[in-house]
Amino acid sequence: MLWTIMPLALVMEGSETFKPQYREIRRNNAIIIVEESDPVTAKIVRVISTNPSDYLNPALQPGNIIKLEAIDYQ
Amino acid sequence: MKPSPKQKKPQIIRRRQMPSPPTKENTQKEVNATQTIQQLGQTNVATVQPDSGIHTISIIGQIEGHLTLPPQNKTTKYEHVIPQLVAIEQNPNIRGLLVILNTVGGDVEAGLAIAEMIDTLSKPTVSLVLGGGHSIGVPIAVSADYSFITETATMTIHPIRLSGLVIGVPQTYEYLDKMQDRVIKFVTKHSRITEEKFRQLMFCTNQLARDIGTVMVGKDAVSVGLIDEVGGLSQAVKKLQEMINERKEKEVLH
Repeated sequence: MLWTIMPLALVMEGSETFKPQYREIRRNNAIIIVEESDPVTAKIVRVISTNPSDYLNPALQPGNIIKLEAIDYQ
Repeated sequence: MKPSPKQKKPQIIRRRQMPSPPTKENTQKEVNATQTIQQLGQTNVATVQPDSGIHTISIIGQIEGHLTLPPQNKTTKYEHVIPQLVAIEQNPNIRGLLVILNTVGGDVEAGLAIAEMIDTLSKPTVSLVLGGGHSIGVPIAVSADYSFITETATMTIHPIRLSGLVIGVPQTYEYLDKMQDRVIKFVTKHSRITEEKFRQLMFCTNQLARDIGTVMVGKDAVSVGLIDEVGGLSQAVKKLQEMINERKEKEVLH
């Protein structure tokens, strides 16, 4: 349920065609969901970890561009 | 062979020069700092104590089970949560778990699986319902040793129906009924609510506009006995810390 002054059509615009390619990779004990920009770099979308300090790690902030390693493709 | 002083000298110079030019690491740090400004509007993010011993799992959006949901849904996947719970159980440095819920429900089997895992975890667990803990979020919220709900958070209890809550199996009325019984048994076993009261809330007809069921806000959930206490983040962390300390004292005594 959305409660917003924005028209619903505007909020949902493009949701049908929005199909990002996500990949799950591991950094230490955290699962990082990244959006690949090309085969070697990716943008962090989401961090999944039980360790609160992983969410505060500047290197793992969503939006950061990281390099993908060969091990990420296994 | 003895090295002549002439040979030694350039070596020292090389060592001194090493740290001065901008290394790969330094440039990486600068890049990280600019990215943090872009994404969060600040350069430094506060850090927690490395060994607070409390780990946290957030159950957000839809609970995703046997079927992958379309990408515009925010989901909590059980294949992410379950291995993390196993790791929490095994890691001696983790002393307690805080489960934060803001979920609209989802797969019954996946939700019950997560709830059972949290229930059987040997370490102290505290749950906190923020925003919403609807449908299958209810058994997850009560599965912790102690549960909190914020004043404005809501929990919706409604019957399990054919509306996509059970997926991938041809359902009969009996099957849905059985599924519902599993949820009801779990909730009544892990909270103070009676089965009679829970069923009454589930099949209430004068609460929701186009549906049967009940929406409970903050202290309503506490007064029916579903949740233990109304509170927020500080109360939840404090309670968990107390439970961890109690356990430590017991360990010392034995």
